[in-house]
Order: sequence, then structure tokens, then C-alpha cells
Amino acid sequence: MEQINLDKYSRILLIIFVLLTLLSITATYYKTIVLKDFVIIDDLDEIIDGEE
Amino acid sequence: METALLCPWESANFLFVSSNVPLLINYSHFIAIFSAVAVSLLVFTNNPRNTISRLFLFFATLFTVWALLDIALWATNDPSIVMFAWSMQVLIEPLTYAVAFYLFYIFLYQKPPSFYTNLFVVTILTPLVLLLPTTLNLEAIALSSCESIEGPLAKYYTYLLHITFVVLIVITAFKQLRKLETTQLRSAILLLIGVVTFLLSFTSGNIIGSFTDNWAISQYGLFGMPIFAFLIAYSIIQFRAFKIEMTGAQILVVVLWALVCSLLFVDSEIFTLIVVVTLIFTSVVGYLLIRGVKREFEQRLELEQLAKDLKRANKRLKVLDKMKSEFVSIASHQLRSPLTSIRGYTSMLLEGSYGAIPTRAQEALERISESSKYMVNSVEDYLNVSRIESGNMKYEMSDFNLKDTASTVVDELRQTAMQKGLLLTFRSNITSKGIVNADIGKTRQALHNLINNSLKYTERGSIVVSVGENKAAKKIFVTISDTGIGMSEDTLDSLFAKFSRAKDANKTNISGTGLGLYVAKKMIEEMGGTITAQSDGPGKGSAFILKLPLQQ
Repeated sequence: MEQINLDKYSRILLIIFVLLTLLSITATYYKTIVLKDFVIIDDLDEIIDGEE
Repeated sequence: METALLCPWESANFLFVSSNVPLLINYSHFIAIFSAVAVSLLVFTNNPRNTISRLFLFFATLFTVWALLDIALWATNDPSIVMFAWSMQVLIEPLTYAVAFYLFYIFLYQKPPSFYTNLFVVTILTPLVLLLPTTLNLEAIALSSCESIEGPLAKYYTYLLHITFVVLIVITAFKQLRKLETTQLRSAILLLIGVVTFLLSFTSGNIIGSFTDNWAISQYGLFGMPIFAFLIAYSIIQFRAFKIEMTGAQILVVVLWALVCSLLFVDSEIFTLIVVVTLIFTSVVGYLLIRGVKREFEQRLELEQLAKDLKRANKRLKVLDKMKSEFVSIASHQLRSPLTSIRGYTSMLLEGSYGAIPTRAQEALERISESSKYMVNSVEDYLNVSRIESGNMKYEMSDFNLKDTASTVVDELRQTAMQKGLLLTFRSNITSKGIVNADIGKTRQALHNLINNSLKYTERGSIVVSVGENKAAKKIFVTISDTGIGMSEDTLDSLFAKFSRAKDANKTNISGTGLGLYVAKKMIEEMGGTITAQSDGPGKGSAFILKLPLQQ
């Protein structure tokens, strides 16, 4: 049986992974820097929303 | 409008400059960044096309970004910057480990990992990438300390990834190290120690920080990078790792410059520490440098001596070679003239030009004729070798019919074949005219030598000379197949060498100089053709194929 050469798919896999990573970084940037959408614990007992 | 909540200290200038950043943090980070950038750039600029150089540069870049983000985390009082920088660190750490694994793998195997390994790496990294913006990564930020509260992704999954990559590196090392040669092995062991030391110190510092909230400890982990960089540099100098030529002096100057420069940024307490590090470093590298210079000096002397010897030997060889060619040429010419007389007079005696010869004397004369014929052929072979080697062989190229030439040679040798009880036949299945552009005399001689060779090494059976063509490749070929003693693969390899004779030639009383095939091959090659030989093995016959470019 002829063996399928899978090595060429490694490049596609890498490209998909890089795109996913860039997307994830953008999403994190948008969430933290632009929207400031995260919880702030003030003095460890008073929880307030970061946007307020 | 409400102002955004900030951590309780002053804002950072230019993202990195703040009184909140301890001096040791700046020092440990910048030294690590400098080591990584300096060594990776040295490696990359020396061999930019090498995959390992590129990977090493990428590895150093990831580390540099991580270290800069870390300084920003210490300096800033803005929670959003802390959350973003912290998330990026969570992402970059396992990526650094993955690149370290690839770096080590390609260094050892000299090829990228298989698709399944790549698939495994991508599969374990994907959850990290996908969940990075979620609260599974960072849950919140504590304003009083300006530190993120890590979720399960940052706290457990990333460290699991770190351990997986370190295990992968160790497995790769154990699988491949025993197969390496000494120099490569030493270099690989140094790289392994460097990678594992760096990764473990990096990881242990971060794990302690994650679980004890004492992030000051993690800064010591960064000292793993200068150690790693030093081992890489040492590996390059000692073993020419990554195929890079670099002297210890280059590395020494760069590192000393960095260490002395760093003294400008530290207080008196750390000053002593840096002086001690500088002293140790200078001592170790200085010793290696002196030893290296001494060794290079000795090698240079040895090389100079060898070059002189070689020059002398070469000169002597040229003289000897010229003398040999002249000797063969003179001796052959001197032999040929008397032999021509012997052959001529013997032939006349046998034909009765000097009257009737007694039967007993006739037998003797026939033997003289036969022997002188053999001797003429031998002398001709020696002369041809002499001409080929001195480049004095002249070729008179003209268009002629190869089929007719081969047929004529077969006719000439048919008598000899019959005397041996062999069947010598000629076949042709070409549709073209069979015209080639070559020296007709040399081609005849080559064919003569090939057929004669088959006659010599065939005890019984037949020899078939067939002419064929390959119109697409514009080639015409003459195949001489025999049912003779055949050849082993070893014999096939040395068949066309000078003075090469069949293994049992002497035992079976086969005469010859061992030059016929050599001369034939050389002459045909000079005329743009080829001669090849095939055999299924001893006792299974042989086939010689003479190919020439077909004109029409």
C-alpha cells in the first residue's frame, strides 16, 4: 500500500495554529485594554467591576 | 467621569521605568535579555539560512518579549496593562518551551519532527490559545498588589505543558544521543544541559510564584538564560555547533562588555556580586581561549609542514608521472618497429615467399606469428593508455554507419570465435540509418576490444552482437551479450579500471593486459558516448552496452 506523505500537512497545521494564536492575542487585547472587561479585587474584600 | 482604578503607586514612564521595579529585577532581566539577543544574533548572522539558527532567534525573541512584559508588570500601576501582559506571559511561556523542544529535536535529528509529533504539540497548545481571553486563564486582579489572580489554565495547565515539553526533550535526547559521534554528542549534551537548566529554572521560579504569591523569587529563574547562552556559545566555540565558525575572543569581548556596562545600573551590594561573576567568567573563558589559541598555533605549524610535504610530493609525482608516460611511449615505439618486421617476415615465410618450409618449421612460424600478433596488440594498448593519460589522443570525427562498422568487426572476429567453438552472431533492429559522429577507427577498436573480451571469457555457447536504438533519446547502442563466466558485483565495480582482469583469468590461462576495456571506455566517453556492463552474477554471462549519440 502506498504510504501517504503527511509531512506537507505540518505546514498547514502551523499556519492554522499561528492564525489562532494571533486571533487569541487580539481578543485578549480587546478584552483587557479596550473593554477593560475583568474583575478588580480592591483590598481583597471589596469586589467592584473594572468598568465602573 | 470616573477615573480608572489604579494600583497604589506612581505610574510607569515609558511602560518600563518605575521606582517600583527593584534593581535586581532590572539587572536579572536585562542581563538575560542581552545574553539571549547577543548569542541568538551571533548564531543567526553567522548562518541565517540554517533552520536551527532561525529557531534559536525565534526562541530568544519569545524570551525577550516575555522578559520585557515581566518588567512592564513590575513597573505599571494600570490593571488593564497587568491583565494583558500577564495573559501574554501565560501564552509565551509554553510556546518558548515548544520552540526549545523543536530546537533540540532538529539539532539532534537534523530534520523536523514527524506530522504526528507536530499534531500532538498543536493539540496540547490549542486549549491554551483558545481559552486565553477567558476567566479560566486570569480570574481577576488584586489592586493592592497589582497581581492577577490566576485561573486553572494559568495555574495548572501551563505548568503541565512545561513538564510535557521537558519530558519530550529528555525522551528525544535519550533516543538519539547514543547514536551520535563524539563531537556532536558533546555539543548535544551541552545543549541539553543548557535547555533543561534554563527551562527548569524558569518553570520552578514561576511555579513558586504561582503557588506562594512570592513573585520576587521567579526573577532568579531568569539567570538560567545567561547560563544557557554561555553553554550555547561554548558549544559553538569548542564543537562548531550549528556549523558556525566563531572565536572565543568574540564571545568574551561581548560578554565582558555587557557585564562591565551593567555595573553602571547597580548599587554597591550587587556590584561585588557582578565583579565576582565577571572574574569567574573571565577566568574560565580566558583559560579556554589561551588553550584554544595554543592549539590553533600548533595546528597551523603542523598544517604548514604538511602543506610543504604535500607540495614536494606533488612535484615529485608529476615528474614521475611524466617519466612513466615518456618511458611507456618510447618503449612501445621501440617495440612496435621490430615487431612489425617480425610479423611481416613471418607472414611472408608462411606464404612461401622464401620457398617451401618444412611442416615442423611451419608450426613454429605460426606460433611466432600468433605471439607477435598478441604482442602488437599489447603494445598498442600501452600506447593508447599513454596517449589517453597525457591527453594526446587525437580523434578524427566524421559521420559513419555504426551498424555497418559493428557488422565488419563481427566478421573479422568470427574466425577466432569458430576456432574456440563459439557462435558469434550479429543482429540489427534499427529503423534509422544508424549514423553517428565519431572517430571510426577508435569506435572499431572499442567494439573490437569489447567483443574480444567476451570471446576470451566465454568457454562455450554464443556471443550475440546486436544493434538497437532509442529514437526519443537520440541514442544508438551496440549490445554484446555472452554466455561466459559472468561477474560478481565487486568485479562490475572495478571492471573498467586499468589492468583490471577477471578473478580467475590467470588460472584459466586467459591472456590480456587488462587494458582493453579501460581503453575502450575512455575512448568512447571522449567521443560523447558511454560503455556500461551488466551481469546477473558469476556463471550467468555478461552484457556490454556501447552507446553513442545518434545523428540520423
